[in-house]
Amino acid sequence: MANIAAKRIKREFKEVMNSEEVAGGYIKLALVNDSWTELQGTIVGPPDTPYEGGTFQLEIKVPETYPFNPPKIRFVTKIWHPNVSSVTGAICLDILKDQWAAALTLRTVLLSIQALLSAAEAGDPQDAVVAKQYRESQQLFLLTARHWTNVYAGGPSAIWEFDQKVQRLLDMGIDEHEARVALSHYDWELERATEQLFS
Amino acid sequence: MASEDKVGASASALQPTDDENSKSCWVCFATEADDRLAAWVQPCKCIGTTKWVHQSCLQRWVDEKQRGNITRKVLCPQCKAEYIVVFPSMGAFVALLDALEEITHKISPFIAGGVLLGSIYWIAITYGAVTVMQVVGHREGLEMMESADPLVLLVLLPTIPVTLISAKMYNWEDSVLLFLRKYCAKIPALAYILPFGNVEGDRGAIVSGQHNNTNQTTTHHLSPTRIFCSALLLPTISTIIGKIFFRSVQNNLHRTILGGLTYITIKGALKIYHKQMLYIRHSSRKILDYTETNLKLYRSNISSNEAVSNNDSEQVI
Repeated sequence: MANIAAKRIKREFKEVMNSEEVAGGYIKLALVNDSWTELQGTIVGPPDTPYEGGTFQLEIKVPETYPFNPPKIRFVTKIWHPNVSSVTGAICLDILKDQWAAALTLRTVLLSIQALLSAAEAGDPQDAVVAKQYRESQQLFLLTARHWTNVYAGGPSAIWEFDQKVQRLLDMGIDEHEARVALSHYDWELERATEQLFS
Repeated sequence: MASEDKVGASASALQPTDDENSKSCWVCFATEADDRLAAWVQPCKCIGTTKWVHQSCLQRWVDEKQRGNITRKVLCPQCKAEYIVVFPSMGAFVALLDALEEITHKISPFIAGGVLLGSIYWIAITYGAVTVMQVVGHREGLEMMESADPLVLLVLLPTIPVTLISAKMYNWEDSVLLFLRKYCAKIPALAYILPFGNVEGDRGAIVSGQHNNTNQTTTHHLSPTRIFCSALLLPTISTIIGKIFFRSVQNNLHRTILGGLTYITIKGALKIYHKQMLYIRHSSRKILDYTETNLKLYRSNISSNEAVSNNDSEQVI
């Protein structure tokens, strides 16, 4: 049955490569090994979102039972989004779970994930902390997401104030990513983040 | 979660190069040209690229969705139309076997439950009969039960263990203890029998308040197995005590009742005494100053306790 999976992935791969989205540079798909079970997806942050200008890598694992079961996809690039775990990159998206349909393809799934970036669903969060910030302090969420896009996905707009705060913790000998996570979790309040890091 | 609409829209725009007439399977994406012999089906209202699917691919998809439950309905993930699944008729005999299978499946739990309840009922009757013979004497008991109406026996005998257990659920010792604590602490004569301990004002109130609470919880915590055992063993113990201490009494029933009362009274008194001592121990505990001497004393206490349980306690000191 792996036969169906491999055959279908090959067809899908061809389809993606010929699609206008790849031509336009919105999504990309690359093979990781020859067995067609693992692929690497790339999406660019949609315009008018804090992810604009960023390039996000995704790990795509195709199960033996594909297309009867959905592919397993997670963000490799760190991202600040209510429906994506800021730790593991796991994505909360219905079509990757119970709403999967065999008629969906890697191309449509990648486009759906891209759509998720422009329309977060805070009612069904993957990362509770991010979702809380998204609901309660939207402005701070947008800045944090833009900052993460800048640092991890090559986004264009650096947030000077945030960089300074991360640098402050860095000077105390804390790992850069750890410092950024703590600051993001505590709404960029340096004191509370420091307290948490040293407790 | 992102709504499915966006996806649905892009899914219908799938494979724009394929023209409308050539079939392509939405599961394996193979076209008619890839396999000329495969059976095709158009199972739902979908049009466009998700119109056609291989019979075998759809079967597998349905299996995957049903997860072993072959009666579960399966809908098209896109248009939500229910797939029309039909099974070929296998003749009247198979249909009969199907029906039998279903009936057996449905009534089995009820039969099993009935057998279980029946067994418990018969155990209760047997226990009741044994208790009657034990209490009034073997021969007299048999005669009594033979002369009684069987229907009455069928009702009365099972109530014996039920009554014993429900009587045991009521914890009379606690009520007596509370009563004693409340009213008899003032009578000096009683203080010789039941020590009440002089607990200083505030702390005493707190502890007794706490203790009332713990009392309630311990009654709740009283294990069911303990109630069960002591309730059902009561007749046996009563008979034995009656035979040992009241040999002069001729009537078996009277002797057993005397034995039972003696047992319950002595046991209750001991229990009340023990609880009262626990209460006093709890209310007069102290927390010591953190000084060198106290610490040493405490540690040596602990280590000697540990030495009892495990022998390598030397390094603790």
